[in-house]
Order: sequence, then C-alpha cells, then structure tokens
Amino acid sequence: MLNEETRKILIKPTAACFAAALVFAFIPFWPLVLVAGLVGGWLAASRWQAAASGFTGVVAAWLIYMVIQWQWTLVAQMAGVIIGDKGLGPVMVVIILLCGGILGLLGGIAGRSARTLVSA
Amino acid sequence: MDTPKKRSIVSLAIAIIPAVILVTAFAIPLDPGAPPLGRLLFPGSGIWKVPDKYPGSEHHRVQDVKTGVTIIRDDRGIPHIYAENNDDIAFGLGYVHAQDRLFFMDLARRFARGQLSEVLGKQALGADMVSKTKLLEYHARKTWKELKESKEDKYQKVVCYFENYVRGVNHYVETHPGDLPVEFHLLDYNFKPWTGEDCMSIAYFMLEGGPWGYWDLDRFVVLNAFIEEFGPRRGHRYFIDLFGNPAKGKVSPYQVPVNPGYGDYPDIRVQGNKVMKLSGVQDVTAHLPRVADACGKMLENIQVHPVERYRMLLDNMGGSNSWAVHGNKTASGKPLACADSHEPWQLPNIYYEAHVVNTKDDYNFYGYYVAGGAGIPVDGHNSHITWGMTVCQWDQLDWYYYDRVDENHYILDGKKKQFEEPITFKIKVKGQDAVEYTVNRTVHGPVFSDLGKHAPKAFKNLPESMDNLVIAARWLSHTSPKVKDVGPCLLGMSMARDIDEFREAMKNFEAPPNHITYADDRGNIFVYSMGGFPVRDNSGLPWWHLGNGIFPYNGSKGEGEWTKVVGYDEVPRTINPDRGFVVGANQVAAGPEYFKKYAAQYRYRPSYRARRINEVLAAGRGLKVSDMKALHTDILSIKARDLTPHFLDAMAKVKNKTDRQKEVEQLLSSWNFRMDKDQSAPSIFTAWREYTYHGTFGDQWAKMKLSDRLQPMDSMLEKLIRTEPHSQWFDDVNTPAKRETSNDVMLSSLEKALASLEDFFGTSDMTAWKWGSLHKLEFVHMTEIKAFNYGPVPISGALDTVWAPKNELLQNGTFDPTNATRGAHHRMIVDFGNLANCLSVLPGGNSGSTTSQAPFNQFDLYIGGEYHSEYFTALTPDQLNKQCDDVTSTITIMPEEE
Repeated sequence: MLNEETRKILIKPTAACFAAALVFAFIPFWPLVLVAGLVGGWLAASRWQAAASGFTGVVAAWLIYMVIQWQWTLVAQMAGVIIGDKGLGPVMVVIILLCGGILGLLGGIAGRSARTLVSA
Repeated sequence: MDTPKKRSIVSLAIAIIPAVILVTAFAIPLDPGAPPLGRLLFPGSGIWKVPDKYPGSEHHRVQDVKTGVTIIRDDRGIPHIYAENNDDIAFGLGYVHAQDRLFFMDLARRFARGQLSEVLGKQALGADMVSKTKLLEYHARKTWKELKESKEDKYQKVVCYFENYVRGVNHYVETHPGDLPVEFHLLDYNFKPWTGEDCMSIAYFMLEGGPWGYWDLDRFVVLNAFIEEFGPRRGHRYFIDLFGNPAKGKVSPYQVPVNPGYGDYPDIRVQGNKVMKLSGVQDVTAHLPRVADACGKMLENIQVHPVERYRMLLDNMGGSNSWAVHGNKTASGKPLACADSHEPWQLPNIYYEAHVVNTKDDYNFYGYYVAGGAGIPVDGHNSHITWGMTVCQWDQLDWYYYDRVDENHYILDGKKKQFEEPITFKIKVKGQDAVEYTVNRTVHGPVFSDLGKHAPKAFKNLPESMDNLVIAARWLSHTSPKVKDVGPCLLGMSMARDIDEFREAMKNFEAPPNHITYADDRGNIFVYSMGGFPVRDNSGLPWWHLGNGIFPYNGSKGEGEWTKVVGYDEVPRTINPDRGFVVGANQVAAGPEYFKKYAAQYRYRPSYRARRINEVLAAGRGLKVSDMKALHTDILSIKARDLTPHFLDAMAKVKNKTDRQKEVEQLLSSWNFRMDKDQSAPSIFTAWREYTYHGTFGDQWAKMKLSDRLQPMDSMLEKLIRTEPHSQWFDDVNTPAKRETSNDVMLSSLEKALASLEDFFGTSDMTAWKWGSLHKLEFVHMTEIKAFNYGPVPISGALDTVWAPKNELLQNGTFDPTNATRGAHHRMIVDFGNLANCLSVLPGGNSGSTTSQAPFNQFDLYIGGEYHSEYFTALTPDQLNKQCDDVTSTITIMPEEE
C-alpha cells in the first residue's frame, strides 16, 4: 500500500495527466496523449511516479472517454476485423487502453526527465 | 556534464525513442489499403466518431429548398418526408440517403464508374478496367448532359428533381463533416461531393442489373463442348433438349407463363428428340471451337470484377415475386397487391424505404429507392395505384466477334473497317500514379477482348492476341434514346392516379426489363412484361445458330444486325383476367404463340415459385392481408412434391431394403413438402436431390471440362426423371461397362446423401437432421468483412419456395452446405380495401450503420415473417406524431430567411 505522502505526491500528476488526456481525447489527434503524459511527468517527484501517473492518468481518461462514447458494438466488430473474433471486444478495449497507458507512461518519463534537464 | 543531467538525458532518450517508434507504428498504415491503427482505434477519431444513432432533432436553414421540408423518422427509423413540392421532397430524400447510406452510395458509384482503385489500390484495377470497358460511366455522363440540355418539360423536371436530390446529399455531408461511417475509416478515405453524374452512373448500374451478362458466350462454350463430345448432330440436339429453343416453342420444362393469354406449353412436357436436318456441318470444325475458346478465356478474366463474377453465377440463383389480386377474390372487394424482390442478402440492403407526401398535391407515396439513385422509386404505392417488379430478362445484349485485320481495323460484314474513336480513361490508383486505359469500339459497342492487351498486369492469363479475334458487346441501353426516360417513367408511375396515367407513364420504360404487376383503387389489375428488346436479322446464320441473340454473332459476316426494337405496344400483357390475379415470379413471360413472333427471352427461372403462387391464388376466396403474409412466407416446395414420389418409386423397386432406406421411406412418405427448418425430411430430400442432379450431369460436365454453373435448370432433372428414365445423361461416363438409368442414379445418390448427412450431423438418428442446421440465413456486408455480417440464423424455405432463400449443399459434388445469402430483400403488401393496412419489411433496415440494431434493422420482423406499419395514412407531421408513439427524430430544413 502507498503511504499518505506518496499518495499525495501521486495524485497531483495523475490528476493533471488524466485531465489533459481527457481533454485531448476529444481532439482528433491521438499523439497528443504523449503531451498528457508529459504534463503528468512534469509534476511528478520521480521518474517512477511520472511513469505511474502517465500510465494511470491516460488509462483512466481513455476508459471514461470510451464509456461516454459508448461504441461497444463497433469495438467488437473491430475485434472481428483485426483479431478475427467479434467476441474479443473486451480484449480489444484492454489492448487500446494498454497502448494509451504505455504512451502516457513514456510521456510521463519524458516529462520528468525534461523537467530535471531544465532545472539542472 | 554532471551525472543527474546525463541521467536525465539518458532517461529522456529511453522514453522518447520507444515513444517515437510507437507513435510511428500507430500512425502509418500496416497495409497500403488500410488505415493507421492509431487513427482508427484511439480516442478522438476513427471508430469513436462514427455516428451510431439518429439525432433527436435538427433544424437547418438552407438556400436550396423552396418552401421547406420536414422529415420525421418513425419507430423503425423510416423517414416520412413532408413538403409542399416535389423538389423539396427530392432534397429530403437526398439528405436521408446520405445520413443512412453514405458508404453504400460511394461504393455503388465507384463500382459503376470504375473508381475502386482510387480507394482500394491496384488490387481493384482489373475490376475498374472491366467497369470502364462497359462504358457505364461514359454513357451516364453523356445521358446526364443530354438530359440537362433537353428543352422538353419532362426532362427539365427530372433534371431539377435530380439536382435537388444531389443538393440534399451534399447538404448533409457539408453539415456533418465528421460523421463518416466506419467503412470510410477502415479504408481511410473521405467522401467526395455527390454529382448528377453519380446519380446517372448508379441508374446505369441498375439498368444493367438483369440484361447485362455473359450468357450468350456461356452457351457458346457449352454448345462447342457438346459438339466436340457428341459430334455436330447429337451435340446440337442435346443442347436444345437441355436448354431449349423458344422460337420452336421449347422452353425449360413445366413453365406456367406470366401472361397466360399466349397459349400453354404442352408439358408441361418438352418436345421431342427429333434429329435436326443439318447443312454446312463442316463449318463447325472450322470456326466454332476457336471462338468458343476465346470466349471462355475472356469470361475467365472478366471474373476479376466481383460483380461480374456474381453475375455469371446468377443464372443458377433465385428471383423475385410480385402479384396482384382482383377484388372478386378479396374479402374487401378491392385489390390486394404484393411484392418481394429477391437480391443478394447484402448489408446495407440495396433498397431504402421511405414515405413521401406532397402536402399541396395528391401525392402520398410509400416506396423503395436505391440510395444514390436520385430519389427515383423502384416500386411502391400511392393512394390510388401500386406496382411491383420482377426481372423479366428480355434479351437486350448481344455479343459480336470479328476477325482482326490489324491494330486499327477489323472485318465488318466482309469489309475492312476502322475501329470507332477509342475512349481513353485515366484511372486513379491509391499509392501509385494514375493508369491510362483505352477502350476500343466497333460499330456495335465496346471491345472486351482487348482487356488483356491494354491491362496485362490486371489480366495475367488473358492472351494479348485472342487468336486475332475481336469480341464486342452491343447493349440496348448504350444507345437507346429511351434511357433518358427511366427517371421520368418511374417518377410518373409513382404519381399516377389511375390505370391510364400509369400506362402512359410506363410507356417508355425500356430497361431493365421487368414484369410489372399493377393494381389500383378502382379495381384494375394487370401485368405487363415491360422492357424493350431488339429484333435481330436471323437470316444467313450458320446451321447451329438458333438466332434471336441466343449465341454471339459473327460480325465479320454481318450476322445478327438489329432490325427494330420492340417496346410497350407489343410486349405481352394481361389486363383484368377472369381468373382474378396476375403473377410475376421470373418465369417465362408468355406462351409459345408469343415466341413464334419474338423469341426474345431465353432466360427465366424454373416455374416452381410461380406455380405455387398460382395455385394458392387460384384456390383463394375472400383473401385478406393475413393470407398475403402467409403466401409471402410460404414454404411448400412444388419441386419436392413433384420429385419425392419418383424418389420413393425408385426405392420401392429395391427388393431387400435396408433399415435406413425404410426409415427414409417412412419420413418422406409422411412429409407435407414444407421446407420447415425444424423438420428433417427437407434435409434428406435436398441432399438426395442435389446428389441426383450431380450424378446426372456432373460426370459429363467434368468430362467436357465445363463449369458447374453452366448446367441446365433444376426442372430439367425433374423432366428427365419423369419422362426419360433411360436418358443418356443418367449414364455414368466413368462406368463404360454399365448403362445407368434414373433409378440407378437416384438410389446411389440416396446412399451418398445419407452418408454425408450422417457425417455432417455426427449421428445416424435421422430425426436430428434438422433443415435449419443446413439452411441458414446470412446477410453479407458489401465490403465482405465478416465481422459486419448478420447471421447465420436457421431459417425455413428453399430456393423453389415462395420464401426463397438460396443455398447449396454440394460444392462441385462435395457435401459442404453454404449459408443462404440470397432471397427476398423487401416485402410489401398493399390493401386497397384499407390503406392503413399497408405493410412493409426491409431486412437490414434503412440504416447502413454496421452497428444498427433492432428495431431499426428489422431482422426481428423479417425472420419472424412479420411486417411493420407504413403509417401510410399519416398525411402531415402531426398525424404521424399521433399515429407513431415512438418517433426517432425530427429534421426540419427551411429556406433561409430573407
């Protein structure tokens, strides 16, 4: 379990990353997800925290976006097109979230490293 | 550099390098025709922006409407379009077609215009070249130009209607820029603005649906194979025995003509085995094989086009039904009329249903449209009249072959002739430079035998020279001035108020040929086998040629020139017959008397569906809408009723029957001939029949190296079993020591059928062999992406029942059941006793969205044999809101304020 301080330290960058990722999700240019990760990473205290906040923030934002947009039938059909089985819609969702999370994570590390560089 | 800084640079690099790799991987297409996965799947674009429901309400102000249009979608998403003039109705139709069917429209125009490569890449180049060679786009542009330049009022009106339709489409697209269907995201391209030429191209595409085909060439290939196999006299005689000769009163067996007033066929029996007197037999060896070989090669290559490939298979497929019942047979005393067109079960459905009301005029019409086809209805009804259509297949297309002299010349009627001015197209290809493609033309039409010469990459197998033969097509709609009348005709028919107005509007309807069944509120019914057909000069033909456009003509010898075109005044018709009903089910158009004058129809369906509809309507009294529903979904098989006794007779002759044979005997003896998905008798009958058919013709076809698709009609098997049990077709060519009869084939086929069924079901318990497990409905998405299909769902019926899903159990003699992918793609019932009773069903529904669900996709209704109300008596938006409890959306499009 995370202690109180770590939690506090994590909440701020994660929330920032989440907010940015959610706003960017409505803009038709998905690479902006890296910027959301950068935002979170910039506010994080360490590279590990930056990675965690980038990953968590983006996954949470994309999940909420998906729920708002509610395209499950289409996601299942895409699973059929790409994976070959319409029943693997949930797997498709997990894959999309993982991709977003990884991009957020990398953005977060980049953000934290950039901040260190700038402040050094 | 200090350590933290170094570490930061390293970690920055560690983060950025994989990030860049990942972004790049998701930002570039994995395949040249596919979209980048990121744009397709990640939030913000792609699938997440695809509209999946109708907006509750929309309000638009536009310059392009006159007085405004109100569109209300009912509880199944069907638009009811209210306006004070027809041009605003056209605008509304364009708008809703774009809202529902944008991808369908785009793909249809690309098919018609030969523009698939622009979005699919070079893999579609061959298909585009075939489309361009057919000159659909060329003639569509020409006709559109002629229409626009015409000063005649009827053409001016239709141009105005078309242009308003186009504005409606483009208004939707302009006001909903991000709302592209998922197919555009998958293929990664955008929608180009709609044009009048697109409408005309789709109209041409519809015009060729029926008359365009390769049957003359197919028959030529078969005749040649027969003559090579059996010699000239027997080969020619066998050909006529199996495929008929309408000019001599020989059509496929057991036909009940659409128009009964032209004599009956005696079989129902096919005439004789008389050996014909032949002269000039030596001509065969000199000429026919060379041409047949070239035709065969050309056909093989034309199949690079998916639509053409399908068309070649079409001869063995289903058809449509429509009928009208006089008031003397109905409970209300007023006519009832029904239509159910059969097409490939495609998603989206090729039809689109809509209710349009001109509130200032007596124009209240419910009908079926083709999205993109300029808002011209295909069939439907207004408050006074209704019509339905079934394909009639007057022969409107001829093929000519000529000897080539050189690059620029060929022999026409014995003289050297220069090709007409060639037409050059530039075909855009995704991912590469545009390709220039030239179509040569003879006096008759476009040259198809040059496909391999001009496009060797697309047609790898086609020899460039075609043995110095030129093969060209002459199609009535390429040159007929009446092509311009298709729009005015159909619009006029939809607005007619009585039989005179309707027939006046129908007069110039030339293509595609259809049996038009009609009924009106004054009690009239009729059927006209409408459409134009050319009369050919049958003089000077070689002995083997049956004339009448049945085989290709030798253009170098001047054969088969057209002498006139027969139209409305001379087509067969039946008006208010004493029997009280008219039926079109793609059977032969008329009796032998008519064909003595004009043998212009060589293609039609076996008469099983027609016979069933005829017998139900003939026996009917006090008919109601419920009876029409029952007939639409009737599953009694006349084919099974005719053949089963012969199958059982064959088995009765077996002295020591096995237990399995006894079981089959018991099951089929007690069967009611209904192709019920929950019964096993239909499975046994169908497997037995298909093996018998294959056992009869398959061996000889294989020996002659002919494709199975060129085999004779189903009813020919029935005829041979009933009348010629010792026919040579029953003899197995692989057992030269024995001469098999029909009984031998039937008994050996039963054993094969039982073994296959046992293997398929994994049990010998025959009661478990349910028809529904072998016979399943599947609607196939037009992209052929399986994830977008609907089904498979077990269903009753068979190709020869009124509810006519098409599937096959055998593939080239191997038991491998296919899903049924063709059948009724709409059903309409019109009750002039009470217009509020009018019913409709459109499987797949109006929405082209791949995610469309019940109630919008109507599959719940269709599979259950049910219908939805048309709300036909709702003449204003208020009335519709009162009648329909659950309106889906309301769109108002008003003129801009001054």
